[in-house]
Amino acid sequence: MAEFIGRLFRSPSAVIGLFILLAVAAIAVAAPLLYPAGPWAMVGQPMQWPGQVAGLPLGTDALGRDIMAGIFHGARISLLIGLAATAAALCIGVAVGAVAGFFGGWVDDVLMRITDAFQTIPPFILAIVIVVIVNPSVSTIILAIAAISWPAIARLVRAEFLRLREMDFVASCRLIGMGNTRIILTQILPNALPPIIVTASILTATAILTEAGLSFLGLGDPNVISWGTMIGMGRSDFRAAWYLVAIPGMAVVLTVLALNLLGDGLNDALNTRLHRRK
Amino acid sequence: MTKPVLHTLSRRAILRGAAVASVAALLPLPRGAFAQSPVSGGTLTIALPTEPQHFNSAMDSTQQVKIIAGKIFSGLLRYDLDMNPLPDLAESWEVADDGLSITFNLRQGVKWHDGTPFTARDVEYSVMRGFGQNNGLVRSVFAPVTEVETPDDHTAILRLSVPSPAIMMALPVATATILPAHIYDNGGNIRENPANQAPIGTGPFRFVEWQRGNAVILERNPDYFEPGLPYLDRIVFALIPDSQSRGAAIEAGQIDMVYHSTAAASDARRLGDLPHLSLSTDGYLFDSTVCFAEFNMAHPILGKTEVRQAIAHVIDKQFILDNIWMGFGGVANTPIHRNLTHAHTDDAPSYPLDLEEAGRRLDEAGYPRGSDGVRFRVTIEFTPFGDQYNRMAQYIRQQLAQIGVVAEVRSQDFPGWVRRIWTDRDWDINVSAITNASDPTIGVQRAYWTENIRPGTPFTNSTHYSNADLDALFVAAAQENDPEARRAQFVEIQQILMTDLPVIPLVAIDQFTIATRRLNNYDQLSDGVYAGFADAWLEG
Repeated sequence: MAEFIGRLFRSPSAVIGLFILLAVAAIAVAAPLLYPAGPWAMVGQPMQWPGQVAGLPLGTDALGRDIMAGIFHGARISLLIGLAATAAALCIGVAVGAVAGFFGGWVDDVLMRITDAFQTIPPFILAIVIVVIVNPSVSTIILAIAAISWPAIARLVRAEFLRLREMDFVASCRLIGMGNTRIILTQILPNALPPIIVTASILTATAILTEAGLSFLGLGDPNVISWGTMIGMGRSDFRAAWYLVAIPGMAVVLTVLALNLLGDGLNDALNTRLHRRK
Repeated sequence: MTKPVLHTLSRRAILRGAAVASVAALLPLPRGAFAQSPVSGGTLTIALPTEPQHFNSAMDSTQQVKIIAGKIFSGLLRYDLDMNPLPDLAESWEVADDGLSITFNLRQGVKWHDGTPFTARDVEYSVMRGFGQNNGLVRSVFAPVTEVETPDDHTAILRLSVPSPAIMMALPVATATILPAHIYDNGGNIRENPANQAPIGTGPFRFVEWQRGNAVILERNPDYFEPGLPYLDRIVFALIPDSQSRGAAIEAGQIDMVYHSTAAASDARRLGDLPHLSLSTDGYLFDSTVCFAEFNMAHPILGKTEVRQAIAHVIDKQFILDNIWMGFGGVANTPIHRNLTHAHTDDAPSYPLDLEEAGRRLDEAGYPRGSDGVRFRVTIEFTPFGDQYNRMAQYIRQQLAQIGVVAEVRSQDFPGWVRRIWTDRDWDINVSAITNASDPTIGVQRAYWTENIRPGTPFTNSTHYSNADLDALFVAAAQENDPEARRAQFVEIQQILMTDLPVIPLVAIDQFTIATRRLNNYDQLSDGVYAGFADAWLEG
């Protein structure tokens, strides 16, 4: 573990990514302390540009809401949705992939055809359809993003399981009488983790982007502000006040970039063979 | 004509437009600075935000239909900006003293675009089986018409069972479209007539081509009944679905007009100030729209008048007008739009912004703050049409939060919203709007009339507000022949509504048009851009 962390911190991209993510997480944690009135409070004159008024460093939107408060509280929603959707996608994807890969045969066929079915629908369109049908709220958005994200995980996990189940250490576990569940959970899964972790970091980035896309189209939860909501709300005023779109847009870009950098770093650090070759 | 009419906006085109604009800035010429005489010729390109499915405004007068149909067809009357009737197909008219018959003397020598002469039979068909049957907006106004007599080809006499004074305010081309009887009166379903897609009218422009997904093209009708008109050679309706693109296209000079507020309101004043563009809010009287927050009267708390009056005190209508509608309109003091000068009054109870007063009234009504500071919880729906309604819902939620009423805003797509409001009735507060058209009998009565409580039918009485006194006043006003007495009835109606407050009117919206400064005479009638453009002309 210490060796892994050491390798991770030798990767500049991982360090930069981690640093940005920690900053975003700090913003998210600090939001209710610094802006207890919440992001919807109309605190000043509408449409004040960044720097125009003291105390409102990022200006205000069309209804006089503080953009800075929006960025802080938006970080909570964007991170929450990114992490929760990824966690949900991991649960489904790992379960399906592990069972399919480990048992093979008709179980594998059935599960993989279901996975195929999900993958034939363009993911963003599917997310839109789900959110429109069940009405937008934070939980339905998480559900929709999880629903479009799990097939990739399932395929990845299945491939790992197909490879690992033939290995000698699995055969020896069987010999000593270990049950299937125990073999899956304690023997194969830990060895399949590295690619899953890397994929999860990318998946979180994608989930944040998807949520931003949904909110941009007006399909976000109307009671919470995410960065995507801010972009969507500012869009109609883009020509008159571009900062309404640019500031939350920059927040999305930085966070997604950080997650991708971290993913790269994790990939390098976890891939021991690559490390030895160096 | 196979060449696409409008190329996608290129960067170069924008730069070129900007260059022209900056040169023109040296010579600021206000519109109408010279009393020039009209010039014939030229093509007018109008941005179409939504593609229509047909061009028959007699059965559907949504804006994308009537902007086109208005150029192809004619109505019986036009109206100046003060709603005084002017001749169109009717040269003169006379309403009987008892209001039970209206005689129209029709223009002679008018031909349909296919050469067939226009006669009183076309009017008879249109009133009895055309718009009178099929246009939901004006159907109730024409319901008292029992028959249309046609003593000769150029006289049409409407016979009524009871007076219907709103008829004389409901005869512009855009809603009371006169259709060709020789094409429509064949026993078939009006909605399935192929002429809906290739219309034949009597108007100043003839239908040429519909390039689906791209453009609709009209050309000058050389046989138009007003000699020398129209001035324009062609009108092209170019489909541009995105509002930012419409703004960019008119800024670059690629199109000549954006109508019915379909550019971003926050951008409109900047565009209107450009030297080559003008901004006008005239010519939308028939689209006079009031936006409001309405209450579900079946709600155990919101059903109480004192509670609704308290809530009215938390809303700053001027803030909504300035920051959500960007100043396009006026504060709505009653549910009747100020454009309807024959009916509107400001003399009605008002509820100025006063959070303390709101809290005090809720205390009195029996809803004090709980230990958590919350009095009660409600939901807010909004019509999913543009950003403004969502923003108003957010604004009202924030204001309610300040007096301890916790509101949750719910969003849904248009069919879902319609189902929730009129079928499921699972809502508390709804932020929406209604078109008053040109008269309260047409566009206000329907929202409050007990007989119009029809669950499952969209755009009927949504609050289920029911007041026998008010019903009687509406019915009386619909049949009142004396304008003064009618006005008094509408004033009383507004006072009752502003006391009972089934809806809180927010803003009387002004629609806007952005057009090239070269264009003249597009906003000189009450139905402005939806009229025929017979005398519209482009400077060289």
